Amino acid sequence: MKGSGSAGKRHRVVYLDNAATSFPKPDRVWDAVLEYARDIGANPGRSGHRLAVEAARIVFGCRNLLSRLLGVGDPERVIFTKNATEAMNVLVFSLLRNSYGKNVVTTSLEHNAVSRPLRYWCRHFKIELRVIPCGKDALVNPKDVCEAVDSDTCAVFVNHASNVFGTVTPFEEIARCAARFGIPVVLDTTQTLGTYPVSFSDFDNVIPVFTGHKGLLGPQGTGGFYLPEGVDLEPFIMGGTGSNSESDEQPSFLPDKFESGTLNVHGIAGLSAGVSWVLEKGVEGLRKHEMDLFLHLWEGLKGVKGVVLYGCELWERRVPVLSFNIEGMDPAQVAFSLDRDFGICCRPGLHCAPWAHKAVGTYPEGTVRFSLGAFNTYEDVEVAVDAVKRIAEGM
Amino acid sequence: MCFFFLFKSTTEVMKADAVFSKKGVKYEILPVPKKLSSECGLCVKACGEWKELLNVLLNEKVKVTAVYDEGLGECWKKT
Ligand SMILES: Cc1ncc(COP(=O)(O)O)c(C=O)c1O
Repeated sequence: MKGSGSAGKRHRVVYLDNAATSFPKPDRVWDAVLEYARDIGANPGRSGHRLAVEAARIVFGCRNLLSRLLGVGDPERVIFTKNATEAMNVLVFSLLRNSYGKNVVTTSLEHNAVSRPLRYWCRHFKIELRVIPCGKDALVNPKDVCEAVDSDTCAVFVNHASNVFGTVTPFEEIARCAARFGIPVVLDTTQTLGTYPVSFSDFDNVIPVFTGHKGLLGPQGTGGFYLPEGVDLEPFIMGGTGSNSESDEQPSFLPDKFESGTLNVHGIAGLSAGVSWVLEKGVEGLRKHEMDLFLHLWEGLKGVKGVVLYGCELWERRVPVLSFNIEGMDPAQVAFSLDRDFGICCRPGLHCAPWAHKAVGTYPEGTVRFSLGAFNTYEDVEVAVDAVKRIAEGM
Repeated sequence: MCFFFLFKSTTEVMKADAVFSKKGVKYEILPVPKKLSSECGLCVKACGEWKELLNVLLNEKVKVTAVYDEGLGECWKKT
């Protein structure tokens, strides 16, 4: 039996891997990529001709839409990188490089995009890495994070929502306690932006990091961060910006300070269309749709004998990412059968987050992860529940 | 009369682009004339009263760095 499939036209599949990358995307995303590629194509900010200006308009338009989504006022503070991982590396290095002997506070829910650069540079700069564990329910208590912050802390890195267990860490309380020490908080919004309402207007020390290809529905190869006025950083990547060309010094103003080299304008054109779609639908509306499906999925799987579900049942602290196991079965085998026998695309294993699995007790086998997106339907959920049931019953 | 408005970065030029286009100002985006020195390669040439035009931009928080007339005399410079 194959999934009836609301995703994609070539393969009739049920796509439940939106936490890895969202699929499908709104048609306007690919229209925008093609329109730029076919009709504009120029390098923004490098030359003064009309096509270069048109390209610069596309990039600026995307900054504007992202600042609206983030609830902030300064589009020039939206910095583009090639993905969240690159943004994290820039921020980890920039925030740690002058902090020899100090400490960094983070949580056990972090993705390797955070934990690996943190581990590496903490060792290099002799910085103490304080990893605040989550409970068995995959929740981090913001108070625990605050207690670990002191006057020797140089930065706090927090995952807004776990890509493994879907649990949300409220960042507001952490931002306020870090602000008392004048410390920046880097927030990994990879799994929340576009699916969970946020606003950063009240926080001068929070640096949200985003990726373009998940909840923002843009193409891969897009991402970045927002640098609030309260945080000053040195750049990590330097080079041509199209500004200050007579000088061999990196520009000191934003976004040029952090955007050397030609941008991925194809991707940014598509990202702009994705974000405009998200803004039109409204994040609240998208969340309602996705969480309705999520609850349907949760209840359905809960009723299947032998299925273990992970993470808390506080729905306001969840995004539509669900990790589960079937007792006595290898998650990789379960995912393989879901794909081969039922046409369901999902992800087994550790999901680039070994710390999180260790904290919840699912290391080293990991879990099977279903992650829902804007284009999933009730039918997708029903196909998935039925498939898991049949696998659990030995088919 | 038309004037050159200079900015630090392409992003600021794009902000000016959005503001002038919204307000119906007659303007063009073009490379900075060789005789002027600017951090950004692009500038905006707009026609009207330079003080009024400048205020339109400053009120919308566009960071203008300088204004020159067509004879390239300096009208205003950010201090
Ligand atoms: C929580 C989290 N952080 C960071 C990343 C890295 O994103 P990217 O692969 O786009 O750099 C991901 C996804 O892969 C993620 O789920």
